[in-house]
Amino acid sequence: MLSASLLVAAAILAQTPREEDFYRIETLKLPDEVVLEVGGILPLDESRVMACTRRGEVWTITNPWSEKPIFTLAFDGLQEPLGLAAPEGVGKGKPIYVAQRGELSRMFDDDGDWRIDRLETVCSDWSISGNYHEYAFGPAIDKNGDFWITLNRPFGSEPFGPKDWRGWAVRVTRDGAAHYDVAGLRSPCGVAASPDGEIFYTDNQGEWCPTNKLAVLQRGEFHGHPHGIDSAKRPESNVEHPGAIPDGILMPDAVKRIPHLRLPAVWFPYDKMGKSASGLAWDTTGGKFGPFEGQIFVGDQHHGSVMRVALEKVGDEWQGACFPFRMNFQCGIVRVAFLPDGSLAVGETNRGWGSRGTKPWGLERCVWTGVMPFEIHTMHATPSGFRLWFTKPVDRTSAADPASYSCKTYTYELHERYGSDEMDTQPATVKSATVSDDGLTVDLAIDGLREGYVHELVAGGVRSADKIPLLHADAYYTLNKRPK
Amino acid sequence: MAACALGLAAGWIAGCGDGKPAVDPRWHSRDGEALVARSNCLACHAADDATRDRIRTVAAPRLLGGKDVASAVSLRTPEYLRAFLAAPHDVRPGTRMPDALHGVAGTEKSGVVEDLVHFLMSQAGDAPQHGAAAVLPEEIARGKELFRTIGCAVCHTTLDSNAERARLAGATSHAALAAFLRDPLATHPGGLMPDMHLTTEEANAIAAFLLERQSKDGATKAPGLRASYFERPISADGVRDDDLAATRVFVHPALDFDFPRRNDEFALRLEGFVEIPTTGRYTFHLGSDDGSRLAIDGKELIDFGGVHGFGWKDASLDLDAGMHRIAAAYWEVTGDEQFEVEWEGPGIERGPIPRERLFHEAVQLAPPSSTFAVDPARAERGAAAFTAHGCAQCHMGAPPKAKPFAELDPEKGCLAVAAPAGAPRFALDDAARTSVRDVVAHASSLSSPLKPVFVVEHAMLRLNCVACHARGDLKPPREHDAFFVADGSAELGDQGRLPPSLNGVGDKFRPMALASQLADGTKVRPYMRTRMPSFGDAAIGDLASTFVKADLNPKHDGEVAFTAESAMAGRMLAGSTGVSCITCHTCNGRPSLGVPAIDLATMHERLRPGWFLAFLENPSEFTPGTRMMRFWLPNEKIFNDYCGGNAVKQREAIWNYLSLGDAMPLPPGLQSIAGQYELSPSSEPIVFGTFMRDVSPRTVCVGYPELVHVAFDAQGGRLAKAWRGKFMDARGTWDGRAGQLESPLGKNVLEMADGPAYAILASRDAPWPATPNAYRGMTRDAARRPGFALAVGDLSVVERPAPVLKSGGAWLRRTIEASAPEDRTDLYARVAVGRTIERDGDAFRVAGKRIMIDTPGAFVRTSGDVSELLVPIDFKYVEGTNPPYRATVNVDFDW
Repeated sequence: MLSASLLVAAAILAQTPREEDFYRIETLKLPDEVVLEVGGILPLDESRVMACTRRGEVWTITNPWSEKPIFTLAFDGLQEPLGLAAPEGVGKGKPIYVAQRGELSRMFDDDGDWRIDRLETVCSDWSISGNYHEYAFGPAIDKNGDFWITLNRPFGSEPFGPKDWRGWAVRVTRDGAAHYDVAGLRSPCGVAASPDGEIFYTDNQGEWCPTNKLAVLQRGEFHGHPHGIDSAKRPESNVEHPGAIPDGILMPDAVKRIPHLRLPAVWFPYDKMGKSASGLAWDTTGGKFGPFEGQIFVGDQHHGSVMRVALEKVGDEWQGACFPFRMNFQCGIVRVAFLPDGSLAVGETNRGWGSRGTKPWGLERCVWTGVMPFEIHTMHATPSGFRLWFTKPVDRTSAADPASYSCKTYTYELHERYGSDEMDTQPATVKSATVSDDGLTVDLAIDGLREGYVHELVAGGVRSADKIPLLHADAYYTLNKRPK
Repeated sequence: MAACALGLAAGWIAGCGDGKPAVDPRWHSRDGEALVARSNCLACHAADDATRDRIRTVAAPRLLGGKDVASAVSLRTPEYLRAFLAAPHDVRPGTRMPDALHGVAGTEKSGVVEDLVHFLMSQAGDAPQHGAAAVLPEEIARGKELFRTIGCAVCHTTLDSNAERARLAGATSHAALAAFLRDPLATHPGGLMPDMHLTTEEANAIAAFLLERQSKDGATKAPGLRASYFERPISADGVRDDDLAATRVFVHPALDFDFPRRNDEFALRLEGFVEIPTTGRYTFHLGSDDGSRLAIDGKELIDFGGVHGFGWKDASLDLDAGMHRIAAAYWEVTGDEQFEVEWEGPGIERGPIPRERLFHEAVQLAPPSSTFAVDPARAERGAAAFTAHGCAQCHMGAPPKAKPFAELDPEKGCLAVAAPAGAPRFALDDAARTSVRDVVAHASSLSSPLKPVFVVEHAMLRLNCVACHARGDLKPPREHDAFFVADGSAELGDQGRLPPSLNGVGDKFRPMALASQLADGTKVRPYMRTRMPSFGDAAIGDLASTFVKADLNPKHDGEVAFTAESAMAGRMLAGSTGVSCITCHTCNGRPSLGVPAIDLATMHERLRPGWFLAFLENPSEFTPGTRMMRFWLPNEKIFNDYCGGNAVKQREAIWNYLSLGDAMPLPPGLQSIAGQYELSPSSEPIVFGTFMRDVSPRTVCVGYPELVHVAFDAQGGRLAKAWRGKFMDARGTWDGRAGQLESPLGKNVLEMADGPAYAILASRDAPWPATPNAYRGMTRDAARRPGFALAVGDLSVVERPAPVLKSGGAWLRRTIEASAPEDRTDLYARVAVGRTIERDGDAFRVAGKRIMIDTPGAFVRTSGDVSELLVPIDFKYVEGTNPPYRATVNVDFDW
């Protein structure tokens, strides 16, 4: 009887694998008087996490996932802090860096009571005009120990007058000097360093940003948005002015015509992969979070979801695929951070920009249940198509059948109008699917690969060896460069 | 008994031992004297001034009007006046107006009545005709609820009966009755119908309820749409069609949202009929930011739901000419808001639907139709009758012409069981007649004044205060209890529901507070639905000071000496660190932790200090059954940290704290309220970063519990402003996408001089530089008060602006802490700039503020018409510090 009921359960699972079977969500219980519109998350130790909020408060939360978490107001009076970083570790006297609208600051707890006693201005070289959209995100710390901050462009009135460097990424060195390294950003809500210390950011669809994207930040490059580009004429600029930006040009052409234009490593096709990409974090949990070590987890403010990205470098070009990962958080997600126990904390707010979910703010964490999901683990470009890694051995019959896959390609147009449709869409043909001996990888040979295009692959027919369909069958690979 | 008699002679406070007020031997019938006043006997019967002072009168409604003077006549239809004059006691049982025409023979009487009606109607002036009104069913329901809860029903015990409302239905119109309810004292100065402080909306609702019987069968279509407006968090799907929990329901003339409302988190439903002019195909366009829906004839035509930016959607359908149901829903979550509905159809270009095509289902209220025209000849005859039949005595104040009051025979005239022709006939039952006769029989004693305690009782009976309030042996009828209702969740028991007893109020309240309470009906108990009305100055007179004369215990007069230390101890005692007044009492507008008992910040101006201290010692001695606790038991010490544990000093400390009024710093223990944006510092300072108008987009505001607050400009590296009272409303920074420029919420804004506050000068005369001091960050001390770090050339300054508590409110102290690597004499602080700066003893005066500096050497220098107050910073070597040269200067601002 027992085995019979297990069989029934397995059959149900086989029918409908659900995200919550593999990754559960736990919610921080908030007292009425704490408005936790999270702008930054900093894990402090095994039992404490720090969060800064859009209201300018910094909270130390002790035993956050217990029935009675303890909230300590560590600091207040910051202006829309949207990131926390502690490059020297946390503890008494160690600096915690925070980006405010108008400055990069560092905060010190001098007596070890988890409250901030001192704040120092590190850099306030850029300016703000008093516009709500002039957010500063970060800092992310690169391999040299420099601090990267991404600056939003303003929308609407600028009561204290327009300012330079909006839509730029600024790098602040330890001496507090500002270096204006990258231009052409729009609303770059997420900025983070890879484990190797390279800096990546996410940007939000709108004018001159055809859809949400993930891109690398490298000195001297331009990312397509002309709002603040005239600051490039200033002597402090490390970006050569790209000249006039053509309005209405497909991205593969734009990269040829616009000097120093950096293509994103990953486009997030609109609505299929969220509507408002935000914070990002690399899984460095050593397997505590499941099988995706080294991959990037990206929040979405509109969908209240977390997406997954697997990057590779082809030549000098970062590129890769994004996958759906987990939906149904209580609110739009702005920040993600891995906690010491290997769970993924997500910080939430829906203020000003509506989101799915039932709550206006909060902090949750996503915990691997220990059950292995059947997922496309990685999608890499090959000279003839793509190689897929799966998290579990595949059913050889379905995985070897080209009809189990469908693929199409499209790109985007760079233009001033808000967002771009998927442009120049064409089908690509899966000619063959070759399953490895261990059943974990499949090589797809595909006709119709195109550089500069998103390759949307749906592996709807693939089953695992135990006949379970994929938890998420779709993957979106941005093919900037075909490997030779 | 001898002692008792002596006691009476000395005043009743000495008492007879049984706790009941003794009867003044010269006061034969307090009920009778109240009746004599209410019946206005002295309008006809002359009396000496002393008697008039004692009895008073209750003025009759003002009937004579004209262009600029409101007349009570305008409240009534001519049909009602005719019936009422012919038989006042039949038409309105219990009216205090006597029947003056009962002796006029039948045939002649109808003529006299008609003449009087014409005369009275000629006095109505420009009052609007008694027309029809369209009201919503919700208004009638709301009126009924108001009538039964705010106090109307306490006096008008039968008015919500069907019979009474049927009488009213023929008597007046909705517009006239609503106007009267809004301002009854304008035409009825006697105060028997006091001013209930009704809003127009409330008066309309109560009038709609009272005139409900005027409604015709079936609904009528009236212009405009029925609007349901919702203020609350709104989901992306808007508000359900069957949601009845609207914040307001009213009639709105057009398909738009042009009415008073907030800008975020609201929804609107507009329902009614659209009149289609010609049969054909119509296209409706729906534009909104955020969501909206449109239904025609009960079927959804356009669904434009969600939370989105502005856009249009349209749909078409065939419609026959005539009325069709229309329902539009709109909702706004956050950000910009826009809502438009347009149509196009046969011969109609695209545009808004004209208002004259929109209707809603309404209840029509109309008095019986009437075509009355004043006949001047009859009106002239009526004027003569008005005088001849004695109406003018009460309604015009004509000199008394009947027999003097002191010479009246208690058995005759109007006091006869059957009043003879020529004498007015009052509606007196036997008991009432007996008590009036008793007064008349002892008329000679009326010229001696009543003792204050009886004057109060007389007033309470005359004005019917006793319908609500008890005092001594006067008590409201038990059945009135049903009309007193607490608001919402206030769990205050009967104390939160029943109007307070008036025992000892002349002792409890300061005379000014009592006077304003009586004259204006000041509301201090937000948890009670029942309202304290205004009776008007004419009716109240000097009643407040009479209460004081009757009640004051001389021991309770006088003030308590103020010290800041005592007030601050009182603050701790009022908070969760002490007896925790904030558990029950609202504190300076901030809700308590529990029930909403009277605001602590209003007590000082209302209460007599001596009474308060005695009350605090043992509350139930003053207010039996009070929920207020006795905190200090005899011979028991509590809270030894404050005032050395001395209970008397602790109670005085609480009083001193209350004496700060709306400058009262919030005590420890109050919590902030989620969803509200006003920042109210209580235990620790609140630091708030924002865009500040006229300062900079990088402004750090600090709110202190002592209610002096500052704004520091991090961009300009200077203290920019200080102010008193409320701190900040953070809505513009914390609500929606925010980004508004904020301003201080409080008052008395003190502007600091522009430019840097610190400079290194080559000499005392060197010009003050314009280069800002560089902001270097912020420190927080043990009390979490911030200090702002500045770089001034190669020197460092930390400025700590914070309040120091003084009597009547705090001063601002700018504590300047400077440090230098070597002994320097070239650092200066500039603490004021103005046209003139004058020395005032140890202080300086600049444009209405006083500045006190605790370091010698401050000097004023003047160039042209600009004077500057500079303080040279004098460093001292301090062993063991780095950098080793230190200076601290305190600069106090009193403004």
